[in-house]
Amino acid sequence: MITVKINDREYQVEEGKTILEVAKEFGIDIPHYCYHPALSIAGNCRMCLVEVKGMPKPMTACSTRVSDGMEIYTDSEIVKEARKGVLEFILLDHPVDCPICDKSGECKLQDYYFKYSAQRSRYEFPKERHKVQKISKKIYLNPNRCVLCTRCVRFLSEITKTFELTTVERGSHTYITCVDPESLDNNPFASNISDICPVGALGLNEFRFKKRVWFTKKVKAICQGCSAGCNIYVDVSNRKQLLDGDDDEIVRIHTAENPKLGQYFICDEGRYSYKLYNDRESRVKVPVLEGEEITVENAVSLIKEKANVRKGVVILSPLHSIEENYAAYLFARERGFDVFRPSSFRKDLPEPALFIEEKKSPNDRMLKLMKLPKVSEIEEIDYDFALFLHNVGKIHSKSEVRILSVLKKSTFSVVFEPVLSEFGRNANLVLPAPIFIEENGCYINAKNLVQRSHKGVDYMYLSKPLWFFLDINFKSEEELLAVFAKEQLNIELDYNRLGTEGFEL
Amino acid sequence: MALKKDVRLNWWDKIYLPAVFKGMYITISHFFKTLFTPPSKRYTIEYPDRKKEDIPEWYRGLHRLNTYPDGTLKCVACYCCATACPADAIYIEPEDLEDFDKDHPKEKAPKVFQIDLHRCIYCGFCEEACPKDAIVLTNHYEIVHTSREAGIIGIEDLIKTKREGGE
Repeated sequence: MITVKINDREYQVEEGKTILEVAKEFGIDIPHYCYHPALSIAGNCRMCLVEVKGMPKPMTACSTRVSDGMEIYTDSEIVKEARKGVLEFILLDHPVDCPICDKSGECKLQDYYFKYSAQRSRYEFPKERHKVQKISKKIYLNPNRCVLCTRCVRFLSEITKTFELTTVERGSHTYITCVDPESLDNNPFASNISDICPVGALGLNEFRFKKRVWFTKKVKAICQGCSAGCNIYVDVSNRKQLLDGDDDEIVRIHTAENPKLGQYFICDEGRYSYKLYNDRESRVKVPVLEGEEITVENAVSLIKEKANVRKGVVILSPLHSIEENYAAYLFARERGFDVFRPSSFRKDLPEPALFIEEKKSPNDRMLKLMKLPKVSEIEEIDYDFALFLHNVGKIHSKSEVRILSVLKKSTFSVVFEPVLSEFGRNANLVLPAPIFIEENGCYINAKNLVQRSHKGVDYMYLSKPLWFFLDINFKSEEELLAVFAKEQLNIELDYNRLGTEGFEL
Repeated sequence: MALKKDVRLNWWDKIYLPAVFKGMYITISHFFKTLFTPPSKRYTIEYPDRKKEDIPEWYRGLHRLNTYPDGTLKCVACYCCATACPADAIYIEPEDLEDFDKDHPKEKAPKVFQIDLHRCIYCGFCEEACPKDAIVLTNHYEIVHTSREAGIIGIEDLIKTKREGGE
C-alpha cells in the first residue's frame, strides 16, 4: 500500500494502479473516452488530463501509474483549461447534430461539453463529411461523430480477436472503417461496440431512430438467456402517452458491468432477446380454466380446493427466479407433494464463447444446489394434482416430453407461465406469470453468484407472482429469498446484502 | 391562516337599496353608452359577422411546420417538441432517410407528425424547444372541427397553415 494525495486529501492505495482507477475507486470523477476497464490503455483521447505535482505538463490519468507520495489535482485551473482545450479540438470537426443523434441523452461528449467546456466553436472552415454506412446487418457507422477513442477497434482486436474495424488515413483526416463486413455480421459479440462507443458514431440498426433515450427507463436486470448471469440494463419505454400506447415496452437491452463477475459485455443473442418479451399477443393475460377466463380470486380458491389431495407433484423451472421457485417448493413441502426439476436446454457454444454458457436458463444452479431429483426420475405419472412453472424460453426436450405426459395424465394440472406454450395448452388451469422485468428476482449463475434482477414495470394484465396464487403468507419477494437462503444455504441473505454486484456462495 | 374580517354594517348599509341603485346606474349607463356607439367602434366584436384583424404577431394560434425553399421539411423528428409539450399533444414517427447527401446533410425526417389540437394548450413550448425552427405557432385562431378525428392534424395540413400576416 502506498499513499497518494488527490486534491489535497490522502488516500491509501494499491501499487500498480493507474490514477484513473484509483480516482474511480474513491468516487472522484475524471472524464475519459478511450479508457475502458476491460480494454488495454490507449491514452489517445487526452480527456483524462490531470495535474501531477512536479511534472511539467498535465498527465493522462488513464496511463499514469500511481507512485508513493504523488500529489494529484483533478480540478485545478490547469486541468480545467486542458479539458476545455481538448473538448474544443474534439468538437472542431464534430457535427452538432444532437437532435438526430440516437446517443444524445447518454452521450459522453454532450455531458462533458456542458460540464467542462460550454464555449462557442471558433472553427470557420467547412467540416469534413462522410456518408453514414450500415457496416453490418446489426450496426451502422457515422464517421462524422467519431472522436477516435478506438475503443471499438480495441474491443474487436483484444476481446473477440476478429479485427473488423480499423482506423485509416492520418491526422485530422483519420476515420474508422470496416474491413470485413461479413465477419462483423457473424460475430456473436459485435453489437457491444455500440455500447462502448462514447458518442453516437456506432449504433444499432435496430435502435436507430426508434426511441429517444430520455423516453426510456433504465432497469438493471439479469439476462435470461443462459446461466452466465450477465448484468444487463433493460430500457423500458416510460412515456405515459395516450397517443402512442407503447408503455412498458422493452426498447433495447444493453450492457451493465459487473466487475465481480468480470463481465463488461453481453452477447448479441441476449441483447436481441427482448423481442420475445414484447410479444403481447400470446401473453397469458388472465387465469384460464379449460379455455374460460376466470378471476384471480377464483383461481386462488380453486387451487386451494384442488390441491387438497394426497398425491401431487410440483415441477420447478430453471427459467424462473429463486423467489418463484421457492414459493412453489414451500407449497409442495406443506402438502407433502413430490418436487422435481427439469433439465436445462443446451446449445453448442460459438467460437470464442467469452461469456456464454451452454445451459440456456438463468437459474439452473439453484435447482442443482437444492439437490432435487430430475423429472426423468418420475416413476408414476398419474398424479391427482400437478403444478409446473414455465417461462419464456426452452427446457431440455426430454424433460419437455416427460412433463407433458405428467400434465396430461394428472387429474388437475396447473401451469404458471407468461406466454402460452404447449404446456399451457395441455393443462387444466393456466396462471399468468410475470416476465423477469415485472418482478424482483434473484438468480444463481454458473459461477455460484447470487444476483438480483430489479423490478422495472408493474405487473401487466392480471399476472401475479406465484406466492400470491398459491396463497402463501408472504408480503414480498425479499422474504422468500431470506427463507430460501436460510433453509437451503444456511446463510442470512437479503437484497441489501446482495448489493449491485451480487453475493458469492 | 385565514383572517376573518369583522364587518359592521350601519343602518344606511343595512337597507341595501342605495347600493342596488348605485350598481344599476353603472350597468344602465354602459348599456346606453354602447347603444349609441357605432358597431365598428364597440369594444365587443360580434364575432362571426366581424373578425378581429389586428392580432399581434406573438399570438399563439394554429401550428405550422416550416419548409426549406425547395419544399423539404425543416423538421428532423428530434422529439424536442414532444418532450417539451406539457399536454402530450405531439406524436412523431421518424423515418430514416438513407440518401445522406453531402451538401444537404439530413438523415432523419418525420414520417408521421401529428398534433392533437384537442389536447394542445397553445403554450408555445414546442416552438421554443425546436432546434431547427421547424414548428411555429401562427396567429390563426379559428380552429374548428366537426369531428374528433379531424382535430388530429398531420404534416400535410401543418405545412399548409399560412404564415403570420397572410400570404
